[in-house]
Amino acid sequence: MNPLSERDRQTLREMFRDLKFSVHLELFVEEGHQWSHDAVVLLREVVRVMPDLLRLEIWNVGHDNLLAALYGVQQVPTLVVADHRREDSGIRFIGLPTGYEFSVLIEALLDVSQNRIRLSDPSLNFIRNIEDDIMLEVFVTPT
Amino acid sequence: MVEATEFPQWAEENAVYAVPRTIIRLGRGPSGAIEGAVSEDYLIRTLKNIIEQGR
Repeated sequence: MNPLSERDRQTLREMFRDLKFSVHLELFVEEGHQWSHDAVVLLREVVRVMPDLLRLEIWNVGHDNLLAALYGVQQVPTLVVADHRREDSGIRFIGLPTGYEFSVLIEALLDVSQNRIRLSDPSLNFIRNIEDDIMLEVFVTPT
Repeated sequence: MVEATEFPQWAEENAVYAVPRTIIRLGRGPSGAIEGAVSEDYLIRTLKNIIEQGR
């Protein structure tokens, strides 16, 4: 089953016109895991809309455990969003980015592609001067 | 990702009673949480409070 309708693809084509640089999607999955499979199907469809600028790499946590550890992947499916230099943006999607989270995913791709930061300069300056590691986790439901 | 059958136990352990919920952790030190949509100003104030607690 195709997760995107023709209308969805058309909407994505229009949104992806704003992509500036390529974005690398590093997807960590597990064999035989239903949500991993669904994530692969969904992201392949998304990347197919703009293959010149969206690159998808699929990693199996069973085989590619060193890379998974490097990215701090502890659950599957986990999507790591990296920029055109394959530098980690720090953005992770854990689980299926469907429902409202699908639009969050698309916005994240656009942000990383354009190197767009939506915070004000004072906030950015404050964050850049934080010396400790900070983890921000946003828990959502895909509806 | 949390399996649906494990969600009640996981939610209890992580005090997640409503979504969206943003959990902020400073290393292994203090943490804070914000429920619902969050403004930039409130996020920065929360970060400052957590960092202050960690000192």
